[in-house]
Amino acid sequence: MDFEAELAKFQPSLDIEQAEDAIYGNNTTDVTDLLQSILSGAKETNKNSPVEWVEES
Amino acid sequence: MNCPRCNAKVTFVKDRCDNCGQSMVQYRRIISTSNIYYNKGLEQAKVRDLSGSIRSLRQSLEFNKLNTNARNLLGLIYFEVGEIVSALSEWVISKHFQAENNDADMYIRSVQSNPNKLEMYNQTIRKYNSALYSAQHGDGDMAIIQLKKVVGLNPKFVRASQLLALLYMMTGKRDNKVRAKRLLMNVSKIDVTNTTTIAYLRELSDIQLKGETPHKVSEAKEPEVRKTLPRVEADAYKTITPYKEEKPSIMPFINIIVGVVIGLALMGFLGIPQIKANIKNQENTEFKKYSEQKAANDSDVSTLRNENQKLTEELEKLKKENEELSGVDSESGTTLQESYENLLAAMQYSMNNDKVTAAKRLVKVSEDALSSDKAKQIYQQIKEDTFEAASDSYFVDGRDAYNGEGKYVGQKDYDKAIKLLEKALQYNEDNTDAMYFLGRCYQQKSDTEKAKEYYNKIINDYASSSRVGEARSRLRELGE
Repeated sequence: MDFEAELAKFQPSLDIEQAEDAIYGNNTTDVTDLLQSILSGAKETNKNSPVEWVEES
Repeated sequence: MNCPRCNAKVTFVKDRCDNCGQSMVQYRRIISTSNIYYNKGLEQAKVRDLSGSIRSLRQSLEFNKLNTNARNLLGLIYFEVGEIVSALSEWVISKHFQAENNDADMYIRSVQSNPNKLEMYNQTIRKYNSALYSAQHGDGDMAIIQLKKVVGLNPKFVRASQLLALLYMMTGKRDNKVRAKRLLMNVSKIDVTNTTTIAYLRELSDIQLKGETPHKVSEAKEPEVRKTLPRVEADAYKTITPYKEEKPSIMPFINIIVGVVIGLALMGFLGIPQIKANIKNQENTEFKKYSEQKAANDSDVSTLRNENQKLTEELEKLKKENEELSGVDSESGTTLQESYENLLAAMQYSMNNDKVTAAKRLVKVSEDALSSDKAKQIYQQIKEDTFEAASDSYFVDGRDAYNGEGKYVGQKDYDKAIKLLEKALQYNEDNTDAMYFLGRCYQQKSDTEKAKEYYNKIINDYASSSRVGEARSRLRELGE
């Protein structure tokens, strides 16, 4: 076992004073947010795209 | 479920939002996936697969950050492994997304309600950070000291235990390796699937703790392919025999008898001494009671005796007083009344010149019983007048009885004569004639001693008496 590498894996624990930063820094973006952004993006795309002429055969 | 676009309430079964027309199909799938991960995390937490549970719950939250249950459970698991700040963070975020009816509120309150414990948690975190810094900068010993304190304060702080175990292992000493293994075994009970713990334990597989069975690495053998039918035991397929009643066995009875004997023996060893002691105690108590009662009775008897004696004395005293009052003379036995009656009779007989009868009555008078001096004077006067005459009268009768003359003609009776002559002396003790004839009577009866006594009394006490010469003559006869 590489003890140094193992030691390097250990990260400092957060103090209670740092809890606020942890809460604010928490990435609260989830898949529903992504879905929402995808949906809103698709809507915009649909709005801006020009209507093409379709020839009848 | 809320619409992700307009946040309006939408029932779970509807495919589109009634408010904005947003398709809910994809959104529902995402929520379902989040719930599936939450359920998985919950199942893992139940079997203490905490590392796996953390992963599942994080995934659940990545799908749906509003899954409050998943977030609260994640906080609880962080708390269990000693990550207090992470736990509090999850609960605070949970509370932010769902302000009401949220269990996170209770969790936060339970942690914050005990400031001392919160401070202890904070201290363990600081010490852990400090120890980690020391370890990463080559000061392993210092790190070990600090981590020992951390683990002592919060044994559930998995990361601290793991770091301490790693530092122990780094020393290469066998003792430290044993300590490391013990630590890792403890934290493996908190989180059974922690990969770090498992990896470290594998490193320490050559270390055996006390009571641990040595781990034998057995080569995995492929199971042999069965080529024949399984062997059937010879008596597996037997014809079913009809029911037969079992013969009665004597063993149960023997067991019962042995049990009874053991019970009796136990009672003999344990019970009987106790019973004996109880009986002895009871007897002692009764004896004590009896002794006390006897002492009380003795005391009562003694008191009663004293009272009886007092009462007897009092009775005697009262009797005496009564006698004194009734005038009975205890010596003569005559009452006052009788004495006076006899005195009066004596007076009357004296006046009638019947001196002998007067003297006889006067003898019955108790001089001491006479209360007045006058009566005593009369008594003396009658006594002087009558007693000498009575004495002479009794002498004459006594002499006649001696000689067989007068009233006693031809009837010589010395005993009668003695009685009469003694009466004569009773009335007059100086009657020497009576003394002489008493001597004669006793001489005739051959009672020479008594005869000599009377003769000598006349010679010695009454020298001037006319009977002196006769008395000497009689003494000579008797050989004096």
